[in-house]
Amino acid sequence: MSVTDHSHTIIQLSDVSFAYGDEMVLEHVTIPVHRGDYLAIVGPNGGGKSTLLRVLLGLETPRSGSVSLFGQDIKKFKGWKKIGYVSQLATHIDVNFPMTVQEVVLMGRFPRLGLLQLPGKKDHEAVENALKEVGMWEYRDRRIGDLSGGQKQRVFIARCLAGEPEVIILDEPTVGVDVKTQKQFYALLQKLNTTMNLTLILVTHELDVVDHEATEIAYINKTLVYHGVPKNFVHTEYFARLSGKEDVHV
Amino acid sequence: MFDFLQYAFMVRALEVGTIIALISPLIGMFLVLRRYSLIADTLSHISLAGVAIGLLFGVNPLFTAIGAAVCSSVVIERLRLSKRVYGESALSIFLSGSLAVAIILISLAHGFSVDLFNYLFGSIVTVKQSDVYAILGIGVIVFAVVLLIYKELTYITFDEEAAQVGGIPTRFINTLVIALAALTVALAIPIVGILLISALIVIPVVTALQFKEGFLRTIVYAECFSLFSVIAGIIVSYYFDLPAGGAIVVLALVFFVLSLISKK
Repeated sequence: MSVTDHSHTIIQLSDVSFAYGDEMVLEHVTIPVHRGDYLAIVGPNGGGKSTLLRVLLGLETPRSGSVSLFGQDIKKFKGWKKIGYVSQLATHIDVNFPMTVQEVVLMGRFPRLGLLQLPGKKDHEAVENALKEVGMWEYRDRRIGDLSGGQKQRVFIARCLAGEPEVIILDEPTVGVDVKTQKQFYALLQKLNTTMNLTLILVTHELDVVDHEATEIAYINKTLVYHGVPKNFVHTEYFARLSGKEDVHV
Repeated sequence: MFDFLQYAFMVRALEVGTIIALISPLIGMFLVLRRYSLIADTLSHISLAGVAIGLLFGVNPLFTAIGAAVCSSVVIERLRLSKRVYGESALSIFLSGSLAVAIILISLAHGFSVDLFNYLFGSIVTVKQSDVYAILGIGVIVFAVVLLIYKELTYITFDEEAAQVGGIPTRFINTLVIALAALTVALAIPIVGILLISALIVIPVVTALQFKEGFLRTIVYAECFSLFSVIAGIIVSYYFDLPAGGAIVVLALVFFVLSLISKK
């Protein structure tokens, strides 16, 4: 089991509101993330889940409220190497992009290197360890575009791991991936959470994750509707909506 | 066999050609993979306006082309980032706008006859000794800057958002690479010509991509195709009295077609 340290909040969204033009997408969202958490962000389409991630990553600036990362305001935050990010890119990557698996994973080390610094032995070792951790070392010389969706996702996780982050943030990582591969992928995430005590935050539609693997659930529909442990969430009307037991599109 | 080397203009053309051949695909790799190849065409048309200004006022056209291309590249990138204009629209506006300015300037000067023709299609006799020093100096700077930001540029090209989250200054590097592209285009004009420079930036890269290798190897392949096309193109243009730009680009196209056939 992962060890969630409730005394140690590493990410704090406080009263965050965000709008695209005049359209409010997030309103007064407050979520603390503790070290060791496995937080699944769920909610209906257009409810603001991915926007919340983008605000948290500094890719969008909130209209009001604040985001703090590792105790520092996001505007002053410099420790980005502590955060790994897996975007939705992996599921629709250009198949002709000329990059090997090893080259992709090595990029995870770049935030740790200075401007003139070239990757050295330590960086290549980190790449090897990360690829072995996700079971993709044998594929190191293959082109990223030649891999299956699930394999690409593993490579993207390896890219994060190579950077030795404390938190990994994933935006709908298994869109377009078959159910069996999804299960293997989430088993890998759980292993990272429990054995390496990595904090995980992901936007997902997969109810198995909500039900069995995450330690915290945040249900977002413009506002934070629910935030708590999965065992309570599965008995709420929101879980019923997500699982299609109520007639609400997810 | 190498009798052409006894002529100073051929030595100058080969020196400059080698520099252009090395930097064009290096920049081209990042433009092609980011679906931004069209900017090379736009910058070359902007350079035409720069060349026309130079010829009209009796200033070295290489420097006026560099000035026009670099300044415009920064404005194009700002316009694109502001999201007030689509990226492609910004390119289209600058492409046709600069061509309009160039045509007016050429008309005011009642045409520039041979000089302008050489700048449009490239010529091995256009390169002056002062151009060699300028192109060598600026070319080395372009090459060195790309090497300095190679890691960051690669990351941004592959996954811009992840690079941004990783703390890489994506805005600054994006603007820098467009400015470097502008410099490359302007430097290549004397040899390859305004109308053909974008081909040298794009074709060797697209040819190398057919071999389905990793990033670094693809760059090396593109550099080889580019070098061979430029050097052979200059020699062919000397022996057959052809415009250098045309000979270079036709050779690059031959490699591209061969790569398509061999990798079918």
